[in-house]
Amino acid sequence: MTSPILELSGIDKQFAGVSALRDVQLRLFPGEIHALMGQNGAGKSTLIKVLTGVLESSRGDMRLAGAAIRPRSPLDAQKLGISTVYQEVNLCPNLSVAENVFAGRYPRCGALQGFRIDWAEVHRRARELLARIGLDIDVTQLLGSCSVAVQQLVAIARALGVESKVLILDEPTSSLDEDEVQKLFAVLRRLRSEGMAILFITHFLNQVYAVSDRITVLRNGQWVGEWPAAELGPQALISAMLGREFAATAGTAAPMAEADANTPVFLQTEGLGQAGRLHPIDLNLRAGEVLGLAGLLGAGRTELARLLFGLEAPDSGTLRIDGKNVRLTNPADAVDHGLALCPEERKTDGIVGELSVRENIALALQARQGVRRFMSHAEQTALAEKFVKALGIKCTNVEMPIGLLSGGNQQKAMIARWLATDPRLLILDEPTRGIDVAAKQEIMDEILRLAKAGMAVLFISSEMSEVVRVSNRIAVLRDRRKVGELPGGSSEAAVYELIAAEHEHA
Amino acid sequence: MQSDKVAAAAPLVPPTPASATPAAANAPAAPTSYTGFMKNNLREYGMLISLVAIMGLFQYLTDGTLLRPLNLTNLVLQNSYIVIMALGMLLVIVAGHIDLSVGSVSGFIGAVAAVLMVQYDWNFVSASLVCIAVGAAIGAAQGWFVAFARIPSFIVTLAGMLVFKGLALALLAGQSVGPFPELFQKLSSGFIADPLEGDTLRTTSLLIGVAAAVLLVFFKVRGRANLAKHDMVTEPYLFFMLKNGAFALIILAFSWLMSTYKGLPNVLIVMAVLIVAYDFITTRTTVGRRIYALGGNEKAARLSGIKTQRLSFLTFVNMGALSALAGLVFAARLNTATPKAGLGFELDVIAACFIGGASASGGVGKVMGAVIGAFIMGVMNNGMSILGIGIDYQQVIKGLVLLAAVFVDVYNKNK
Amino acid sequence: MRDLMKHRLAWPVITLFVLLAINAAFNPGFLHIEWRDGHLYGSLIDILNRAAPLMLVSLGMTLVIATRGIDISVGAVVAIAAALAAWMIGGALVVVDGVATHVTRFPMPLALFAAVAVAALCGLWNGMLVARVGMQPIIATLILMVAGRGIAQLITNGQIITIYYGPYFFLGSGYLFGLPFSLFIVAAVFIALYLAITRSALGLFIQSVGINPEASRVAGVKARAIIVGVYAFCGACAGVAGLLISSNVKSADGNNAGQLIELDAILAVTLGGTLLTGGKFSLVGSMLGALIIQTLTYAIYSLGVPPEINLVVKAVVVFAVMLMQSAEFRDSIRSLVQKPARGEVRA
Repeated sequence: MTSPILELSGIDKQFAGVSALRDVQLRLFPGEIHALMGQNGAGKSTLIKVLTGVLESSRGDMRLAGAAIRPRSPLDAQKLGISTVYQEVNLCPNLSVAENVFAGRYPRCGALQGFRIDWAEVHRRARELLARIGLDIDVTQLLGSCSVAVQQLVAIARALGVESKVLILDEPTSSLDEDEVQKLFAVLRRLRSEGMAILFITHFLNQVYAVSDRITVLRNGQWVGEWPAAELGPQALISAMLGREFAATAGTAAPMAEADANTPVFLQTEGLGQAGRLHPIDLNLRAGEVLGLAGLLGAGRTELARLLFGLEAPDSGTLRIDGKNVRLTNPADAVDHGLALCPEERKTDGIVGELSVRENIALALQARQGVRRFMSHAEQTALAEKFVKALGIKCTNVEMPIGLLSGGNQQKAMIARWLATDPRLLILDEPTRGIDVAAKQEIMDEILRLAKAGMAVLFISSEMSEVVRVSNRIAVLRDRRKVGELPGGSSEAAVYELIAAEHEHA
Repeated sequence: MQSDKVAAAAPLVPPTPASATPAAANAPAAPTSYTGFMKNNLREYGMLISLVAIMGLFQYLTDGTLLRPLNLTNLVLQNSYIVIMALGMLLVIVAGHIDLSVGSVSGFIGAVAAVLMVQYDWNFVSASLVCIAVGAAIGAAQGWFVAFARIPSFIVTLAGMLVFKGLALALLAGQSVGPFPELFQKLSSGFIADPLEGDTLRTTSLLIGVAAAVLLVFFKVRGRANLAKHDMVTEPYLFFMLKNGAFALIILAFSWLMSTYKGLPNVLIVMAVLIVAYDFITTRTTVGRRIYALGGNEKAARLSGIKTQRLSFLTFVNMGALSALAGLVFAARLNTATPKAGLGFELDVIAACFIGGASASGGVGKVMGAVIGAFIMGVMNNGMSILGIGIDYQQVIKGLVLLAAVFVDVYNKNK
Repeated sequence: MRDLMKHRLAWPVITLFVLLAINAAFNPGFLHIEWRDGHLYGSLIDILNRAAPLMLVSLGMTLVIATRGIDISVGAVVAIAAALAAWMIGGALVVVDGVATHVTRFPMPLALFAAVAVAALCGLWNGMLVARVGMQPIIATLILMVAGRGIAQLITNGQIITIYYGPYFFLGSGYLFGLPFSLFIVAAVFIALYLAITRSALGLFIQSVGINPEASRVAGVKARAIIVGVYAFCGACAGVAGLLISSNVKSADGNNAGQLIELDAILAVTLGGTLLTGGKFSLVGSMLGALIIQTLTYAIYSLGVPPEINLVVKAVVVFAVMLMQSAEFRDSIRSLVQKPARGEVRA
């Protein structure tokens, strides 16, 4: 049994007193593909940042080929032999393929000692490296004119060029289609047979099983376990990631009934999809119905929400509201039709940091009313205070900048913003993330109240217990397509079975 | 598992023409069709064709005055400053910045030169060297603010424009100062010595031109043979012949025309040397390619170990030095330094770079492109002057040309 | 007292007072105001009058900068507006009923309207390039900066048009209730803008777009329309400023009118507390900034410093303000001044 090429133990990392990683360990052997799994907030990205020198751990040991290391920057890590290929390929699209492989390390020649680039050598060696991973393309073409899949392979070739011992792939398949994924896997298998240690982060279950030898699971910043892939079935994997045996029995005390079939369908999609992001999906939603959208991270829930709200343009299918075909080209259109989206990324897509709580809450409603029908200061304050009370937002007063609120309270303010527009369909994307238990309950109850009053709700959450508790119906997504629907009140186990089931056919 | 064919796309990377499908990507580089090659390199060929077309247009409109040797000489002498500064501005733009102060700086340096040579009787060599050093220092100061203090380059250089305009005024006390020592004037208005001078022909100049054309063809052919050795030829032979044949012919025709007048101007030699040097730097040296990496993706460049801040700093130092040189050339030509020197230069230079294919977002642009762009601006300046088109119309037309160039750039980016 | 200091406008106000004090110290009679020829007269009045065009341009520039943009074409737009008004008014001398009077080529109200309308169109052009075509603001407005001067020259036919029309002069040099009429124009624009910003959702939307354009878009704000509108308004302000300037000097010079006013305006806006990175803005701050610049210019003059140095001083002030606003710079100063505490781990 060979010894691990990379060994982490006792890794701790804290951010302002909050523990992001606690006593985490990882073992990577040469000649293996090792999957790192975990839900959002499990600590995967923090661990990778520690590995690649973006962050320094507060405590713990890192050993590469037996020698203790402590990379201080990504460049450091690279020099030590740890290379990373990111989801958003970090290369220069304006340079040629060959140049990207050798950027910063050009083979030199000529009398001007060390200044002149030996292009012939650059091109020759680039082609060699690409050949090693089975790619035969024109190395003089601009990287920007290659597909993402090819760009990733170029990034891998670059890693080979610097003679890495460890290759980390961070969500490499998110922008690839089936063909390209298979090609990537072929490359990874080839590298594995040459002795490279590959750490592979993904949330696509079938991919994990297709290509990895071993799996390490993190949860809430802690190491849960390390298993050979053959010994960990998908159900066991899911329960390891989520931390409990999901209840096999039906969920709540009072399961939600299916919406009355007589109420009109408010929104309907037929084959709505976006190339590279979402396979065509059929969905419908009635007034007063809560449709839960269940799925693991990366299943395509947020992509669907963005399509419905006009933030992205669909490449296929139709969207019908109140029976009429609509084309939503921007959020303002969607708002006009009575839609509302409380986005997942509140920092980038949600809060306007330096503005006050009052202004943030009033923003969407004001946007819909237009420039002239202005809500006076008093009206805005009244509106904001109403919601502060209703949702229990903790702030000194509504004038304080929203950026100073805690994450959870910011989230509540975002929900308040959209509730203020009195929408007919409210799409909530991870509304309970970062909110304490009591507040979660309040929000769940609010959702039920709104639905009873006639609002349709599309509820996206990674907390399966919430989804099954509050939805009339559950649409299950996996790997960017809808795999089925379940009635409200189904058990969590049933949902996970549906998610895991597809794997067998892969 | 049923896999719906989702069309290949690149959503997380700036939109690109999805040319290489995975299947084709694995095929050996096949000889590309003419139209395919044309489409990919349209920008480059387009510029060259535009230059020829514009020259043809003005030649026609001016009843043949444009290409008269006397006029051609004037064209070169009057617009050399654009070419010199465009070389520096290109690097700045490729690195992702912009420099609005170049006009004022070159005017200021002209003033410094005047004060040193005329008022203090300095020898022109040491004065010139000091001037270029001062220019570099100015570039260093601005570069420091941009690269290390991270203040947007347009603000720093807009303020710089103001400072040096004022300093030039102050230094010259509002007057025009001159004339310069004769040797210095030769820089801009002199012509190369002609030991083989014939009766009506400056033979040396002609020979130099012929040599240049031959060398060009030789190097290009050798380069192509090199590529062929590694099986990397992409340019169809026909285009290769046409392009380089055209270049060679232009050089020959140009040197012939020039040698029937007074021969090749000194400043042309200076320009030629600089052009070759900068072309070499940007295509074949590590420093040059690093600037492109920096402009293309700063984060990636840094991850590759490139010292991005220092590079940005250096591009400004270089720009300062070239502005100084241009200032000297301009002052030598006018034989005086005036407070109005340098007014509006930056716009010509920036326009030249954009016409030449530089991109506002950085990372893209070729030296030869900027040179062609500078020549286009020069021909336009010259042609419009001959036609007696008012300065006002000239400004408008120049603005429209700049608009068109940037438009094409943005359009390409958004495709 | 500390709270007062923390107020956004604290520094601009203090700076202004300091400058006024310097002026008063070197210039006996600086603060002296008297009533002469039917109006108020004095250095302070002079400053106010001369600052009026800059105040207008700064108002427009404030909104543009608040949306994270910049407009360096305002100088050219000033020239265009001035040229158009001058051309349309002209002022030929004719004899009417035995009295030599000046008449205009076009009625003055029409000329005024046309000038401002064309200026607004220029702004609209800029806004479209930025919002619809997606050009960077510096490049987009650079184009008009280049072409605009040419257009102005076209209108004036390369000459300096002298205006011979009394009523027109009133704009820039007239007095109403003892105060310069230009101030009333500035006040009117300021009040209208202030009302628009505070009584409608404009202020909220502009700030929102400047701070977080993506979040604003998700919230349903029509970001593109806002940006186009803001540039158009900036153009219009520059237009009115052009009218004031040409009215004051009784002529329109396509080449020199509004020369370098863009830098003055950017400086005024940043002195007034609006950040170049966009977001919250202060109209009053920009007005104060314009006054500071004008007072500074006056101080330099009265100190006997040559006018060229004026430019240098201004640029140095710009640098200083930029540096203060640059977070990196403040951090490096801070780290130089404060030694890290013992045992503290450097990030």
